[in-house]
Amino acid sequence: MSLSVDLITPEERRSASAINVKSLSRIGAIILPTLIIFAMGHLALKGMLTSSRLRVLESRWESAEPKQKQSLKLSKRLHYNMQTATELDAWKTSRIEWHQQLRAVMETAPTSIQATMLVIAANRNAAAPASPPTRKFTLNLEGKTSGERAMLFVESFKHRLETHPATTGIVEAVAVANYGADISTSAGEFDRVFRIECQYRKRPEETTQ
Amino acid sequence: MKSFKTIIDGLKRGPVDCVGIDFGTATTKLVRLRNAGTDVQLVAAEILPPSAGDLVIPPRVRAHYAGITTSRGHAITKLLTFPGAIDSAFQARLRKSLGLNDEDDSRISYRLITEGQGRVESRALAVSLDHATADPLLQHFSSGIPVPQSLEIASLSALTAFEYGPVANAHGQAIGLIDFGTTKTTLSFFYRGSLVLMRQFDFGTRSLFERVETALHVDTQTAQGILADSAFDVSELLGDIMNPVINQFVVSRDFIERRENCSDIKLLATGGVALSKAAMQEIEQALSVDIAVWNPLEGLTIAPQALAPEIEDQHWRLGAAIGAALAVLEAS
Repeated sequence: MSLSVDLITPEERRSASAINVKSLSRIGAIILPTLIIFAMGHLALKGMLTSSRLRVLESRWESAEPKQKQSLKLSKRLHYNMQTATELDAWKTSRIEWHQQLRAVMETAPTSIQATMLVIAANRNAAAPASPPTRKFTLNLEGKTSGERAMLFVESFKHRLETHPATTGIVEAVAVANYGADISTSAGEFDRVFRIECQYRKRPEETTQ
Repeated sequence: MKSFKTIIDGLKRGPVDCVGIDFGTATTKLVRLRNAGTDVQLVAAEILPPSAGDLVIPPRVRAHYAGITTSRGHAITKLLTFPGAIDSAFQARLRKSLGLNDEDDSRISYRLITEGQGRVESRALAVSLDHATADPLLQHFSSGIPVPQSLEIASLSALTAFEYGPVANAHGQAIGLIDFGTTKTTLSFFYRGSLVLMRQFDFGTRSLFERVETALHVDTQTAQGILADSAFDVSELLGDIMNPVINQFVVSRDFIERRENCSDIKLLATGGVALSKAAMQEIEQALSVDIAVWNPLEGLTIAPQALAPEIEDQHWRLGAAIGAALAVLEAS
């Protein structure tokens, strides 16, 4: 135990350490308000900048809004026109050169055959109105023939029609849909009636869509 | 929950390196001590000439903390003994016990040496130092380093150093110190490691030298030489001036022997007078004991080149500065 009788007052006793309550308080008293002021200034500046940017954007929007409306209108119109163009294109693509088909029928029909009715029917796809239209044609040819080899004439006609260059790749199937005796009053024993059905491929082809 | 201050204080490390600064009447003594764990090392020591301006501490003795002590000004030191325990009334009458008036502008403090209970006496060491002396000293340390940790009276600081060395090694035996200051002499007795008596006398090296100078018509340096080497017989001269104080030494020693029921008190001396063979012979003769010269460096580890050659023979002047530094290191 030392005999030290200290005459120094607590207020006069300082700390040599860099860390003490007093120094931290002093530093805090300087730094904290500075930080708060800086943060407030930063926020105020940010607010002013945002406000200024908003004003610029609003003025831009004022001048751009009619253009945007016009643009939307044009865009809708373009869409409609493109749809129409697609439809028209589809109509064009699905079209068949019927004069070539009729010529094929004429060229392939044997002389022993008499055509009585030719019906061309189109079946339009209405399942998906938004998609481009497709058409599937059917050609029904009714006719008469006569003789013991009448069936052979009909089959030959069907075969020739099926393999004619004008129908190749266009016609999906050719079938004799009906064949039988002619039951009309004026018909003879060997008179026969028939119906050949040509199923055309769907147009335009799905793969080409 | 611990307060913020408690947490910060907990992070702090107490001083392990400290400079003791003794503002004497003639010179300023600086001693830098470092607590090396098991022992205390004397790192460097300097004795500065008197300076009217700012205190410039040489780098080799500069430390972060300082223990300040002084023998300047009007200081009062008293070992007060009173029955019972310390109470609020003691503090109220402390100023009066020190012989101070209400008008005296002084710093006052005390340290409890032993606390009694019932009929057992309490003993307190009370000091005062006038503000006119203390405040300018502390002004030297108002900012930067070193940071003052204590302000003490030099005579008590020397006792702290004495307690660290000879008292600690006395193993409870009664031991005394005669500290001859420039203007005052302090006589202290320790018994069982505790201070049991302390008296101050208005006798010092200065008055002794002045007497020799006047009587022999020599200058101060010659007077010092005469007293140191006993070239002249100055016993009669010394007797005239020293007898009153020597008588008080005898009375005090006898008082302690009776009161503490001890004998064979070992005595040591320090200060300028202790270097005078003639003066010490006078005292030894009166007290019938051999008096050794106390070396304040006793008990310290001395770092290489800690002591400059010019102060190699002036160790005895460093006692108060060492005590002031030791008190700071001990407090940590």
